Amino acid sequence: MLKGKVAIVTGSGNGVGKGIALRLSQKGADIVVNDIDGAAANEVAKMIKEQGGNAIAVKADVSKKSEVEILVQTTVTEFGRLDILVNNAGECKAALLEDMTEEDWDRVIDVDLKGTFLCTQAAVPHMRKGKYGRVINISSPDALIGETGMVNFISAKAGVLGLTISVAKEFSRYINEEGCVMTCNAVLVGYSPTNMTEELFPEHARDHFADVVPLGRPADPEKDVGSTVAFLASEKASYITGAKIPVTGGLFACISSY
Amino acid sequence: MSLKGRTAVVTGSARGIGRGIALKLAEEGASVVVNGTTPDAIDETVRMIKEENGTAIGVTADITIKTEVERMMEETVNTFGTVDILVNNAGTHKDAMMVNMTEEQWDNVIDVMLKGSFFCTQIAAKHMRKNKFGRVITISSEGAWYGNIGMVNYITAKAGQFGFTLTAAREFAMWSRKEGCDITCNCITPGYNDTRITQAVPEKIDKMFRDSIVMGRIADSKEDIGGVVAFLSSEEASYITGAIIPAGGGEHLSAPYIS
Repeated sequence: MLKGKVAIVTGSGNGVGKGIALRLSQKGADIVVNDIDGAAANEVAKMIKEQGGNAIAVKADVSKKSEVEILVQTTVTEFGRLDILVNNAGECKAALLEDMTEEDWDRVIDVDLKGTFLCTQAAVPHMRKGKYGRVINISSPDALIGETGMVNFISAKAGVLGLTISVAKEFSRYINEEGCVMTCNAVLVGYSPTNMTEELFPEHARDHFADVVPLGRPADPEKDVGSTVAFLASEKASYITGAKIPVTGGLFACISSY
Repeated sequence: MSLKGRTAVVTGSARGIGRGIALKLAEEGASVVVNGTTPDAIDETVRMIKEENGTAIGVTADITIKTEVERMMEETVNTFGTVDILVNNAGTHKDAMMVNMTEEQWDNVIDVMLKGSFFCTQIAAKHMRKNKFGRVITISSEGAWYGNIGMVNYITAKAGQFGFTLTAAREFAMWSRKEGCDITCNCITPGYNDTRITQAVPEKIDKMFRDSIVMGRIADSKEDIGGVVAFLSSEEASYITGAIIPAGGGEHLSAPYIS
């Protein structure tokens, strides 16, 4: 389904990003595993190769323009093109608004929001050249309902939705003037057990999260999130752009959709 | 993403978007029940599917009449063993300004799109529950978000399908939790399209709609709408439920209905 396509998945050394990278690889894409944790990125790249896929690991902090440029350049040098960008890298430094430090605000906005901007900006020229592009941004249904103690994270994730619909509109000029097939969508991921959620929430809270999901189970990064990203990345989804796709097991699904 | 071994009922698939969906699901391996009210057009869709080596039967049934829906589902189960996928696509329009709209115009459009979806889902769900697998996908419209002049019956029915989807998704989720079922219910909102319904639109308005599409082209019913239906029908989409997926090529970003 994605044979011949090249994908960067930011923050794919762990958690949801790792699941996405594995799934895109199973569907035939060549994968650039990016993470700020180089060892974790190497580990995932190794896993992909062991499963018979193609992958390289690139350590980079997506909040730094110079590092993003290296990430994209390395991708194109290694694989010759860039078709799919999954903006997944995210941090969450939880604190109540009153207690939140400027550093914790800046860091989360820089990684989750500015990182998405920088990666997309760097990737688009290569997508235009290949006349094919898929930008898929990982956001959260919480971006639409808010969450206590996460004003930085929620602001960033809601910002990502604004970026998504604006980029989708900007792509129309490449579509109409240059014959490109480029889309930009967001996937809103419901509760998924990852290192991030384990650090953030005690066990009883995590049990509660899984319980309030109508389907009664958390999202599987690979099977649930990865499959949806793979669909959006494929030619089959050529007519879906500027959409927010909830992968939430029914949680807030309606408000997430629009 | 194969749908091999699955059986799909696509209402209103004698032509238009429904035909495209039926062709796509058949291509992905599903056995398809082509439904409509015009036998000749149904036969044509069935013929097209068979020409591509797919499996299909045609069932003429008016989905606004419960006994006809029961007969359609019975025929489906008798032929293919069960029903796994239901696509509530059948639609119609009887346009008039709200103040002038007759009771018949109102009833007919609400009955086909809203009551018809209810009957079909209610009866199909029994088989899905027994099989522990089911996909209900309802085809609504981008217009349901904005309203559209002269279509208060149509838009009300299309928006009503959102409420139907959300509630059915929750009820199915109860079976998923308690009985280990994998049954989801979702909605797709196509935008402006080349169908019999849009052929009646005046040229100036037609152009306005076409110009508003970010993707710069009208949807291909089979590839663009059918592709989304096929994905939601697959096991890969088991965690997506109660969702409303825009498939209008970005039309929802332009809100042409407002002007």
